[in-house]
Amino acid sequence: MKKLWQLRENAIKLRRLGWAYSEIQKKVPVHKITLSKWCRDIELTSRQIKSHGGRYANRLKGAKANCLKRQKEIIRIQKKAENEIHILTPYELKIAGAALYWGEGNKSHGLAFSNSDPELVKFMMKWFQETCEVPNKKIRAYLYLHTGQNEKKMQKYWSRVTNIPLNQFNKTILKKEGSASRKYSQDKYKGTIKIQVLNENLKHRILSWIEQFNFT
Amino acid sequence: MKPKPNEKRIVQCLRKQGLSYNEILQKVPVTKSSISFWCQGVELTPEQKERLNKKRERNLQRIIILGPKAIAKKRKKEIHKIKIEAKKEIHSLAPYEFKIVGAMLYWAEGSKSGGVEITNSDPKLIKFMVRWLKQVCEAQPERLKARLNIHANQNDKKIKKYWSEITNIPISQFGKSYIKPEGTGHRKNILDNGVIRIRFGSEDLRHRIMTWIKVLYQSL
Repeated sequence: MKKLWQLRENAIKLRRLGWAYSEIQKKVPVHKITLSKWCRDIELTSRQIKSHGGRYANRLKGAKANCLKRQKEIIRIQKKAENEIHILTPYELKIAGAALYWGEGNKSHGLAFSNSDPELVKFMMKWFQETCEVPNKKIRAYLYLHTGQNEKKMQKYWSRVTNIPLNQFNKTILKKEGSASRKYSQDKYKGTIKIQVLNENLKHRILSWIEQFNFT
Repeated sequence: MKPKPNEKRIVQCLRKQGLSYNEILQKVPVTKSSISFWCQGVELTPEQKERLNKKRERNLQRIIILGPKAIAKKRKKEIHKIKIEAKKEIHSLAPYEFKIVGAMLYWAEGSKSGGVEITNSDPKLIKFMVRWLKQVCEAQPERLKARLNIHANQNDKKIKKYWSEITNIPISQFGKSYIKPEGTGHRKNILDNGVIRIRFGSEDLRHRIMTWIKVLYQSL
């Protein structure tokens, strides 16, 4: 059986040639919604659209109008939501970071957490430094990368994100590219980083904070 | 491991002065195994050896007197004290704080596309998030859906009942479980109660939550 990412690459190739989803579906047997998710950023040329007949062009136009309408709606929802939350106070930062640690952190062995979202990692670093008062030299980083990625470049990238000096990056763990069902694009996926804090007492303190959340 | 020529030189220099691994460790931030590896070829003078031997003996004596159990017990007491002190630092969550904690958990565990979905295996976390969806996001309980990821040799019915009791979501709102086919036997830490995914089919709510997260992130 073909891997999902292989199917995806095939579908994108065919869409670029101007195929309609119903045609692609005959070669790539996945649901049409999946196809549209994979190919939604590919704009067909007017010649490609014409080749499917006039009704197809109208359908595309209708879909585009719907899409725009929805985008406006989303912006309205976001504007409203912005007023429902305000900037974090120091105490709120403390509980916010503890919540993230509950989600992503290590609960049994040592104080560490792993993630691939640079914003989330930045948030946690800030929390370690400001709330937990962890000195920078007590922090270590590990990367989890695929074989196709450049280790040095990725270490530099994460060092910039986290402000952890390069000599505090320990051994990188490599995974063979394309062995799983997903394949990540080089520029978007920067691997996963594990941040380790060498302070066992702090771990017990954080876990104790998290326990308090359950008594609300 | 990356080569660390500077550290290596310093470590070997300190060893030549007759320092023990632990004493070197306090001055150079590398692992003890690195120190031991680098110092393999370093010869010590008889006086230096004698000092280290005496030191070792003193430590051994201490362990014999106290016993390893006593040391473990002492640490346990320490941890207990830390935990009790830490509890005082956090009070029970006010409604707005509840909102923040849930949003952060969503950042960690929630889906970033499709509707609102939270996937986890920790019953406390799932319980917390179901309450958060109902109280903060005003999700209608009858619209909450659940789905399990379990292994082929596990009891689907029993695990559904377990999660239904925890989440208060009736079994009728549980979808068909995803049953992972038997693997190659590499995976050893099979979770007793599988993984649960809670779903609330509202794209609008997801945009709302993601906006909260964005505001919270930007406040740093």
